[in-house]
Amino acid sequence: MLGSTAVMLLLLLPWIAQGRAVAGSNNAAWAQCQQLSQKLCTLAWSAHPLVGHVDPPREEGDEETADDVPHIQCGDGCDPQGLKDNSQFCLQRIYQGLIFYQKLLGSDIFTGEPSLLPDGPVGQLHASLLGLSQLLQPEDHQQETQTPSLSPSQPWQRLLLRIKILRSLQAFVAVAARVFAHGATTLSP
Amino acid sequence: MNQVAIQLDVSVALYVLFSWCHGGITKINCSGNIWVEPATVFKMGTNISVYCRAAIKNCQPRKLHFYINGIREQSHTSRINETTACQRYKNFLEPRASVYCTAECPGRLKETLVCGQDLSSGYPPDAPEEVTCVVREHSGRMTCSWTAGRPTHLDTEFEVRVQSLETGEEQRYLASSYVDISTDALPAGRKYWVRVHAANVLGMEESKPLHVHLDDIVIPAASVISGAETLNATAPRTVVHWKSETALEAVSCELRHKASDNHTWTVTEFDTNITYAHRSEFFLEPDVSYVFQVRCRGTGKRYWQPWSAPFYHKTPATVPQVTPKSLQRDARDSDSGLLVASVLQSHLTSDNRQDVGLLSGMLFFAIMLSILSLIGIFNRSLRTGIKRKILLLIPRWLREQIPNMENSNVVKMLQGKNEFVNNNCSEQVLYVDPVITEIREIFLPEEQKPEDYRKEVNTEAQDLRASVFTKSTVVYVPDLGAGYKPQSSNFLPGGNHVSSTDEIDPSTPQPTVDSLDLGKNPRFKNYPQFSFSVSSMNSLSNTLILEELSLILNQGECRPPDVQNSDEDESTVLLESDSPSETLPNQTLLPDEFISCLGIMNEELPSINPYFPQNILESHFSRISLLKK
Repeated sequence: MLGSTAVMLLLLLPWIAQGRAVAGSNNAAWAQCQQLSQKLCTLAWSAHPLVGHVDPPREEGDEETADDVPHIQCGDGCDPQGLKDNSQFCLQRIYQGLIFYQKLLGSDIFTGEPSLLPDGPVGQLHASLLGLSQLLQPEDHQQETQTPSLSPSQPWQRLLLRIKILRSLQAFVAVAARVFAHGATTLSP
Repeated sequence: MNQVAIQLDVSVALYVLFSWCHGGITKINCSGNIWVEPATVFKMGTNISVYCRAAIKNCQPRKLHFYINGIREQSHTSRINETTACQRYKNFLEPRASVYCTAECPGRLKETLVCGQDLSSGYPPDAPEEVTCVVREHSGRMTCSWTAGRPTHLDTEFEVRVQSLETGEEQRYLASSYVDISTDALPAGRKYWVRVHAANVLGMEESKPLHVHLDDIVIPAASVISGAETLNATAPRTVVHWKSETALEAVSCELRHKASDNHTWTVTEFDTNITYAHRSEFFLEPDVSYVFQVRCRGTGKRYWQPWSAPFYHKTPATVPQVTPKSLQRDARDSDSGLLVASVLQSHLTSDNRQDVGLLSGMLFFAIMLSILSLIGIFNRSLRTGIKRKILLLIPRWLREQIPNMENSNVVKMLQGKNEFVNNNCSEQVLYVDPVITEIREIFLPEEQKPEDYRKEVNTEAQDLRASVFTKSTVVYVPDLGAGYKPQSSNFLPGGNHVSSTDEIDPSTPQPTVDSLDLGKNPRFKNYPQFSFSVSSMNSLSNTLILEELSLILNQGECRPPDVQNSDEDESTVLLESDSPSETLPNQTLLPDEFISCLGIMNEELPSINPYFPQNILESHFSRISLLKK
């Protein structure tokens, strides 16, 4: 029983941390976030063809490997009722995902060979991620965020990793854009 | 048991918490392997084969696909066996390429990744050539450079190997494209063998050994062109000044120049002793921009300095122009690092300033003139004052009315009375210039003379004729407004009356015929009878001068002096309105200096005045001469 309690507390630990307010979340500039998230969607889709001409191949063992990518799930409070009750949880989750992808786009996966144009769609995408994450900057700057595991990669691996990352990012920003669109419509003062 | 359960729960919690710190989105999972024959790094142009062998669970691949740089290969793919395929490339020329292969597994929609590989192609290094080692003066370092040959497209390392000829010791220095070695770090000695070794994965080469003596490879300190000037001489020459901070005694230098828009250099060589600033002279075309560069080396040594930074100098457009050195501005362009001497810039700048100043002055003068003109037009009193001032200031000749000799009654009278003129003409010439004017006015028709004036002339004419040039008394009529009063003065007889002003009675200052003061006294015209001394009134000279004054007063009006007209100018009307019985002011004595000045002015003969119509004057004198005869 005691062990179960401890496990529950540990499991709740990240949620306690997430309970901290995102700066200005109640007064979030929903409209501005909506615009930026829509722009992110456009850029993510336009950048994808430039990093590969095919869908990423399936990798053996993907099904068994734990996905380290932050996903927006049902329990994150990004549904209409959850946003109405407390949008902090959802915004916190979006913020963590933005930081995660921001680090990926700044890594050697996108900066190494074969090189991409620095002011191309990937560069713009990186800057837009930074802009939206700054809008959602939490008051507690020491807040823990997800960090991707980055290890040196070979050029042939980067071609595939870029496709994988952009695919995942497309899914993430699509959900985030829907959240901000709903917030701009219903929650904006 | 509980402790084990707690540890298990904590482990699960930590896994959940940090599960995203080790994930799959940044990693690639291979299901097989891929290899390249002969190698993943090969000589450019080689035929290569890429093999792919799949090892996927529960998958017997239907097909194996190769992708190069993300693009699927459509040809030259061959299946070797059930799990292996081969992709061949002929004459592979890409320096970098990425290849991966996938497998189509039955029952799976997406291809499964097998694995990938990076390819590199290039060349083995060429033997380094043109190995050069120099020691720049004052640097204390030996710099070696070389040419590496064609690009290898591969990572290539260079190694400089320096072996002392005296001790046999060898030192190796890694380098990329050159090496900079401190002379202290070199093996002992002054003489060395230097070799450059180049190597990459495809091979290695070494340069020919270079024999080096440290004393022979010193390059003098940089030379700089400090200025240029074009001097005026029989043939204009341009002098270029340059200097070097070298401590070497024997240096050979070259100075080259060309027109900026030309491609051919003219090189001047000379040996020199770098103990003083150098100057080189050239005879250049005017108005052309030239570029100068200099370089030096130790006399008999191997290596030259690099050419100095270009120094631009434009020769003057006109030949006789000396360009002071101070006017030259040696401007080092911050971007290009070029020296520029703008010789003409300072001239152009000063010219522009002068033009602006001149225009400003002209504009200011025009505005002031306009303002003063408007004031003069609308202010009557000011106009009157200005008129008086102008009459004071303008020279006498401007107010002299040139007599019309052809119609002069005086001349006619003189011609009729030849005897009178003959008795006096010798002395008359010595008198002041407007003699004819005086004579003319004396014999105006009677009806045009003032009454009392005619009377005096008629009754005492004979006496006056006898004494007119022996003793002349004139009347000075000053300006009323200035507080002066009429004064009488005696001219000394003979020709000494001008130079002997000291002997003139101060109570009777020399009247002079100067009309500066007289001409602006209109009262004289209307009151010719006032306050003359009896003797002066009886003098013909006085009469003549009075008439002259009368003429002066009427200049510009073109009327006889006593003709009263309703449209006379304002000053005349005002004066005429004065009562004839008005009490005249007392006389004022003029200072001797002023009289002396007037006397000097009387000394001038009209004939020497360029402004006097010379033809009239000459005819006048010729008639006088005729009369004398």
